Amino acid sequence: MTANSCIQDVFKRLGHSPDFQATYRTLLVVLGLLLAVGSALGNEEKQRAQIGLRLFRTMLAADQDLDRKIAADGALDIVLLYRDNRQLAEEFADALRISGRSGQQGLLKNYPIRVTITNDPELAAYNERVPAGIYLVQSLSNAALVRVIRYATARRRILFSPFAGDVEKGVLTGFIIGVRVLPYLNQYTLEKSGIQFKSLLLRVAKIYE
Amino acid sequence: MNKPRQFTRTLLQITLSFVVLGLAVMAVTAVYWTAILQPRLYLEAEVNANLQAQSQAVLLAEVLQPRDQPTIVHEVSAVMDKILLITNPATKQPFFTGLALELDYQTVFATADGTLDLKRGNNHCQDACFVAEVPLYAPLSDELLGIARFQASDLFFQTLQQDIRRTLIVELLLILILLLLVWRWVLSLGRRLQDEVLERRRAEAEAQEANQAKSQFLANMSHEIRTPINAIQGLLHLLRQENVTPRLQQQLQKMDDAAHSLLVIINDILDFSKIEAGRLTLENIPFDLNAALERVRSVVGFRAIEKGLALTIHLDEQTPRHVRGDPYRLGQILLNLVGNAIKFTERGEVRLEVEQAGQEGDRVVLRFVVQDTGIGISSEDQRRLFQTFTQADASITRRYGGTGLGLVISQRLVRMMGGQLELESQPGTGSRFFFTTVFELAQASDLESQRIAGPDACNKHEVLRGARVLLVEDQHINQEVTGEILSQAGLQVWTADNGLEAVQKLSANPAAFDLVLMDLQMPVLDGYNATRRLRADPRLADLPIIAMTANALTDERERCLEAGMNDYLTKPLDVGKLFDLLHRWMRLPPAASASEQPSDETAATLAHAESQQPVVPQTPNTVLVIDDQIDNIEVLDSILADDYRVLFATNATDALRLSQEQHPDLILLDVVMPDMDGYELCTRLRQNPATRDIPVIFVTTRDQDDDEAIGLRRGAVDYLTKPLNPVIVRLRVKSHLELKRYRDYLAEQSKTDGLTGIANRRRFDEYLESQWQYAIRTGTPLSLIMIDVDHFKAYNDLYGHVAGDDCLKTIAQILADALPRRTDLVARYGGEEFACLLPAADHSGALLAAKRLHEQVAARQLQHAHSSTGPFVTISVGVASLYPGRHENDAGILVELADRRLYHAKQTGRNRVVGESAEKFTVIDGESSYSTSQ
Repeated sequence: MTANSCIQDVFKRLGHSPDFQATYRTLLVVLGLLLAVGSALGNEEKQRAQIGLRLFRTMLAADQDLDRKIAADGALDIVLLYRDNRQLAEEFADALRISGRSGQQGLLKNYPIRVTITNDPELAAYNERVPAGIYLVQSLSNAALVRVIRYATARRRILFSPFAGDVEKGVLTGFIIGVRVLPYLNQYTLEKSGIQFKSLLLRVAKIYE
Repeated sequence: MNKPRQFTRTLLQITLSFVVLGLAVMAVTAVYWTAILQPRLYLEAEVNANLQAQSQAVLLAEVLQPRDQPTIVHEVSAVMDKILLITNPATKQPFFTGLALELDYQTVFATADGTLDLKRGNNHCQDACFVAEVPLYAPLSDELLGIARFQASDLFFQTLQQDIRRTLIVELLLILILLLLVWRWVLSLGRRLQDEVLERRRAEAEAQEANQAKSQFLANMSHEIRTPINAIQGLLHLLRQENVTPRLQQQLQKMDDAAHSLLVIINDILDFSKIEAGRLTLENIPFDLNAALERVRSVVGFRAIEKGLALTIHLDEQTPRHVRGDPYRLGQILLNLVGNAIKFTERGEVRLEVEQAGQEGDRVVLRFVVQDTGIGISSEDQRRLFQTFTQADASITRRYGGTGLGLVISQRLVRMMGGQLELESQPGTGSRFFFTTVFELAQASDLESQRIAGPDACNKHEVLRGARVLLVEDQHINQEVTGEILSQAGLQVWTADNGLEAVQKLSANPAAFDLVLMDLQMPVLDGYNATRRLRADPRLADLPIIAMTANALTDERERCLEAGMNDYLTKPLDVGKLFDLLHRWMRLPPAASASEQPSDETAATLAHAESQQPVVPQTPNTVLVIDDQIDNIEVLDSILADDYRVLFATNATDALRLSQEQHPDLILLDVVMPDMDGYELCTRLRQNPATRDIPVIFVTTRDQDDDEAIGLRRGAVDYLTKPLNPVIVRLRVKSHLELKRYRDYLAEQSKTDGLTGIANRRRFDEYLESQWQYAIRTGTPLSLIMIDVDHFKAYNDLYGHVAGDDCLKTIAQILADALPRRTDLVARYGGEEFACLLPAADHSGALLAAKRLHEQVAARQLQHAHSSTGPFVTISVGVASLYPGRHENDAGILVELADRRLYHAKQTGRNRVVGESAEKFTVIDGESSYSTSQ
């Protein structure tokens, strides 16, 4: 008996529908990918990356100007920025591409997600086709971080870093872990970039002033 | 009273400490609750509420998940109601009291905006709940759907808080109660401790009082027993002076022995009490070990002879004779051990052996062994032997008597002397007691200074005749006895019944008495206060006062001296000691001294000559009794013991040995002896130069004239027949001793220079010869200083012969004073020449002595107008020293050598000291002299 058949058997016994089974199968795959990514990173970075990837999607969905940041071909461009581990970036890209569940898999706000990876903090290749959001796969040096912040702010794009301390350095969004995992926003960068988040997000997020 | 107050203060401090401790516990608990535990509980409850809210928010997110169809309100309401129904099992109350939704309708698909912003339950709690706003994320798209506002009940928190606070309060109360109990226990313990301390102090005080009472009782008992013993022994002494039959004499002796035994018991008890109280101190005086051993023989020898036992006392030849220690206590130990050995031995021998066991510096370890062939002691009894009041066997007490204290006292005394008394014994084969003690070495010269100067007992009486004594004594019987003893000795005795009467008599006529004998415990005014009053009178400041007391327990001697008394006597009075002290302290009237001496000048001469003699033991006359019959010895001992030191021998061998070693002043010799008859023994004594001058009186039961004639021909001076008449014996002995004394005096006179009173040439030659032989034997140096008065003929011519004689007397006196060693001899060698013989002095010491003599003569500044050496009389001095070799038999070599130095001094300008640079030489040729002064 394979793992899949075993899962099917369990779910059959539980009496769930085949759609539900498909959803959970996807979830298991994503989970496996994330675990693989996590094993490549340090233990804490793995956890933060897992959490951050979903919050990144929440942030993008809360951007009230998201519709204007869609590529001409209708895709939602996302850039994963790495420092030196391309394979890791690709694994994250794969995870992001299949993120979302059921009918929303690979979609965000019904826009198909297109993920590219780069290790250029200047994001020189993206001057023309500006992505809707930038996700840091690896922590960057301060100089590189400044450059990517400058890029995102200037283009009113969401820059998300799952790494602790980056929001304080000027990255627009990240998260903070307390009793709950909360979105974390840099007030200054938010105002400077002019990005408009939904008011509910601002209510639930922790703001760094 | 200060101690209880201090203790109360300590208790207050303890109480205060506990109060502070209790307050501290309460404060720490309050701070812990308010600052740490309660906030933490609140935080935990808040976190718990948040976690609960998050978990329930998932259900809401599921139902609000964007779909193709609008979300139905009642589905959302159902989920919210379901959430509100969740109950806390601990409180049995719902977790959440209220729930409200605020949704993003751009994300949530609803029939109209705001339709799903539902509220359930109570959403207006103030402080009685925890509010948790939880974002709702779409499970499929991760979009933010809205916010769910949960109001969680704080009932569980409140309940938990109350429970914990109650537990803390209970625990705090328990701790406080525990502290209270501990405080009570400590207080109780403290009070008990205080009570115990007070009780112990009270017990100590009572024990001290009891001890003092015991001491006082013992002192009183001692006093009360000694007083009648004093009377008994005094009366016995007086009775024995009478002309009584030998049988009565023996009975009197037995009575005296019985009284003495009683006194020994009392002394043992007192000694034991002193040792137990740690108040017994040992003397440290030089003494002659041989003499101490002989005293043991003289005291217990009778008993050994009575039982037919051989008593052997052996002092190893290598053992030092002169040591420092407590001869009385050593004698007490040995007397006890030897006495016991004799007591428990029926046949055989008792041996006392002394040998040197070690030496370290000037300290020597002596080993004493007392061995007998008696009944022995079983190992079981040996263990009990040294216990107080215990004898080996109870039957022994009945058979042999004794208090059982003797060995205990001996053991303690040995310990005090740095040793341990040990025992080896087998029943039936005898016992061997042995111990070692540590003594400091002493010189013979030290011993000389310890000897009591003065005439013998007979002469004491003569010297004291006519002296006036005030006897202060409240006991009439003792007044009578002591007065009679003194009167018999020719003293004039007045009595006073108490101290006050004595003070009145002496104050009225301070010159009426030459000495006071003062009892201590008396009614009206005791001896101490009477003495203090007498000493306060300047006219009586020098009056000799001798204490007499029957209290021998306390430190009476120190108290007496502190009160101003000159000396101290214990009762029962020892007649010999009494007269010793009387002679020592008596303010003798001039007539009393003068009557005894041939003339003032001769007396002064004799005294001076005696002071110059190298060895002049001034001990009481010694009488050696030689008789094989113990009864005869006892009788003679009883007649003579009070006035003389009596030695005895029961065979010729011992007699010859004692005669040579002890050199008695007189010998009483029995004619019939088992191993050698008295005549033969007398001949042997006469043939020995060391004993030929000792007067011998024959004592025998025979009364034939032939015997007397034979005896006298053999060299005896007199003859006594048995039964002995005590008065006759005493008179004969006294007469012959006086004769011997005058003979010795005349012999002494023949060796004294008539002008200066120092030794003459004859004595010098004799002394030089004896010291020469001594130096050969011992390998010690011998030095001679020859002195000549410079220009003495000119002095005589200028100032006359009388002044010349005075000059020589003065110089003789200077020389005598400048050489204080008793072994040094200053002699007038002839004309104006003097010779000083310095035994055991090397050349450097002799030179120093010569220089001192030279300086002191010059310092006297005797005028001499016709001297070439200056305005005063000076002397020239020649010094010679030799280590005589055994091959040198002529002491004249030393004189010749010193004379050459003197000649050299005179030839080189007089008034100088000339000696030899080399200290040791036997060849006199090629000498070189040098001047050491002037």
